Amino acid sequence: MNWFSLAFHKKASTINMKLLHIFILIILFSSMAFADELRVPISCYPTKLQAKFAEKGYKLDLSANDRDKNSCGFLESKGSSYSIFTYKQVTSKELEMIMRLTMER
Amino acid sequence: MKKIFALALITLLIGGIAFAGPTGPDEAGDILGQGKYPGQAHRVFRLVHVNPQCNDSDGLVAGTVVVWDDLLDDGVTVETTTTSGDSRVAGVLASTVVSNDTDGVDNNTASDDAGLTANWGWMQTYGLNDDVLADTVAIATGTAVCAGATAGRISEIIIGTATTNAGILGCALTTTTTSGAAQKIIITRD
Repeated sequence: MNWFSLAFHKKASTINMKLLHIFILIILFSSMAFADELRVPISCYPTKLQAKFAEKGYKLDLSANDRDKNSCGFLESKGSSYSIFTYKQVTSKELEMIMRLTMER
Repeated sequence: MKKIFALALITLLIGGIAFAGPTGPDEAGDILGQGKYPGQAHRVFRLVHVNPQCNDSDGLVAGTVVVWDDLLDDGVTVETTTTSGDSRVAGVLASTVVSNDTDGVDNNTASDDAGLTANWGWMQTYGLNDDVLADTVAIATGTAVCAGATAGRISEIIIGTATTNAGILGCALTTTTTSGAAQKIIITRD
């Protein structure tokens, strides 16, 4: 019996597929706790927004290549809109804070 | 042999993940440290304007299912719906949206409300969410879900009914037969 036939043998495949599903689910759920994308449909001045974040204690990079251990995320301007990619899951408090910074004129 | 096979498979998967380096145009991020590439977020949020007419003085709470507003039609404004399976379904509010309206007849557009925080909030359009509430129809794990007939809630898409071609909000990860029970879903609107 080779590996292929073993994997698709009725009993073996039932047990192995269950193990496989559990393993994949663990990987998926653990990885879901990480980065988020925040899309803002308003234009911005990236350096000014970066300064506003800095005042609140958050280091927002203007490129993913600028990342260091203190970075919380980076900004990607698209002209009339922009996105913020965070390096960890944002909390509801942080969402509120980012909205206020975004809406300030 | 079964155990050996399972062990070999898991070892290969772990090995593959542990040594996978960032490739392709995204180039940043590391699989174990960050969980993803920067352009492939696990959750996506959009800053949206909520139509004041459906956002009275009570405001809207996180977990409310919203649809794109086709009257203001600016691609930024959303509202609630009582149409089960509404094809305009946009996502789920991720934050409480306060209102600057007290009578429910305010017609402020997104532009009118620019610079304010009232009537603005974050809407989740992709990823895991456990704030949504079930409508009166039972929801089974693994089924597609859509906007429910009760404003702000979700309902299961039942094949062969009027909601067959419904706007799909995502997929249910939990089962419930209780109206108003919190549900865990994966939103797939992007």
